[in-house]
Amino acid sequence: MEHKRERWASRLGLILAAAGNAVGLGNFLRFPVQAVGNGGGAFMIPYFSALILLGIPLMWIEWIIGRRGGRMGHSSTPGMFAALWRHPAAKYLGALGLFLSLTVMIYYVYVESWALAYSLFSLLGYYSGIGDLAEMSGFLRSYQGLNPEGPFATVATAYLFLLVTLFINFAILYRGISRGIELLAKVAMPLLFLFAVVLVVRVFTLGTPDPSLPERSVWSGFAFLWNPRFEELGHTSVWLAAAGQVFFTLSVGMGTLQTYASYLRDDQDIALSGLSTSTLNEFVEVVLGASIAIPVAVAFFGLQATQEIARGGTFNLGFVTMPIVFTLLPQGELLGMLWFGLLFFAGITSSVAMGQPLIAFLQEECGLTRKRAVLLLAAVVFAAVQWVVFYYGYGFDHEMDFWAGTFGLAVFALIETILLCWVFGIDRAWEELHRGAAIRVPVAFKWIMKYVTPGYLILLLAIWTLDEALPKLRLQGVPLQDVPYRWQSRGLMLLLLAGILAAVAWAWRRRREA
Amino acid sequence: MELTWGGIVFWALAWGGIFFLSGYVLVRLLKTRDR
Repeated sequence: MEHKRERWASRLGLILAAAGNAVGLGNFLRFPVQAVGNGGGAFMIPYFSALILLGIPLMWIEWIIGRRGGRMGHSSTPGMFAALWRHPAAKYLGALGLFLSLTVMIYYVYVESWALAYSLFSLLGYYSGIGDLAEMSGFLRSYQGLNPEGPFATVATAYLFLLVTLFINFAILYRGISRGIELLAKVAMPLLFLFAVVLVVRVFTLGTPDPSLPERSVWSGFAFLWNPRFEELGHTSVWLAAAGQVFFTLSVGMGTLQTYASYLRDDQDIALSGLSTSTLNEFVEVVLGASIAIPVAVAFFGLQATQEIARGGTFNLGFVTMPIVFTLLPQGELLGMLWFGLLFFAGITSSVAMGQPLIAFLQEECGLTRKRAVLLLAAVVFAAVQWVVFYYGYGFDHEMDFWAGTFGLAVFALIETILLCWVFGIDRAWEELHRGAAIRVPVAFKWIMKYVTPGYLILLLAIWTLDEALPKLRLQGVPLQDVPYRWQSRGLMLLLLAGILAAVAWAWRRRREA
Repeated sequence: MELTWGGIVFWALAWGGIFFLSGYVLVRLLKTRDR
């Protein structure tokens, strides 16, 4: 079925939506944990290197692929890749972009729903009597259905908030690009920014909460984050973690930015828009995100305890440490609502971006109406998220987060870099980047995109495969009771991938026959 | 842990770089808003 191509209503809306896609839970939850877990100041140097050599070039690569794909009538990566490389395999490589965004969306919406629930809990003072880490951790586990002794006897409350979150996501997706995603970004992004600024100002005025413990101050937290430690730069794990964070935070390698860029007209700028998206994301991550959870945790619990909390899991700083701090501060209910509210806004502007590629694929390549495409995606996500909710305690989501949300992003980024810069050709790609461009990109980036970015990615993937992927594949260190659930998680991912590959094959056969 | 001079310089460079880039893209966006 032919349908009119959707467009962004305004350039501001596009940049806010693309930044909303990039700004997510990674900026406020994952970044502090990665920075603390990888030596603070030692982490920031490889982080900025990866940003310049991987993140920003990949951002431009994805905007080029996306706008060009849109010109050819494709808003999802199978069609975009087929237009870049006239080979039957290209569309199947592009299918990976649908698989990764869908898989990440499945576990991401669940965490997003916690933020919605906790913002309400904060406002109602639901956790206000809890004063220590173990008890707050028990509260979170109880909410997740893992601690029947806690205030939540079952996972029902979490499930209810998940349903609400899913409904909001799919309602926005159903409204389309300009009336749904763009409108959401125009409301949610300024609010997110406002909430974050209020929290950062509060953090800077915290000083030393307990004068009898002068080493516990927000300034100790900032010192840990910013004092450079060159002696730790020899550890490959720090470089890997930094590169992984850059991928996750910019939402590159996932197939979502290409879809957003495909709704641009051919003469609309992508060079400045891509740079604006990266810059806005880094402002939120390095200026705002880095100035909340880490200094607050160090000020109230000390540096050593903060490192232990961060090692305990990605969500501990955000969902365990921060609520305790809010119970100790005046107007803590309001501050808690702002913190979890900003997490929810950060989450939803990203999760709708993860849903859009598959909807675009179902509409354009399979001929479904928007309504049917949204309903089909909703049905798949709803069915798959059951495993994430009910097997949460067994690391079901860890498998998805590593294979799709970490390793898969780097694989997909390498594929698209090679396709654009080597198969399609860097000269044509450079020309494409500058068509209608509002800025001239320094020519050094032409060579970075062709040689440094793919080289960096190959090195990263090689070390990652040896250091992490192979041990993870063998499930080394996984508790015995978790093993069957980890395999189920892999089974689910394979099923999703097989389904997407079959749909791509069917769509192309249908087109040939038409 | 106290902020060292190295830390202050690194922090200032990182934030300075991001603020500079934010200002740059904002000015360019405003200048080219008709395109």
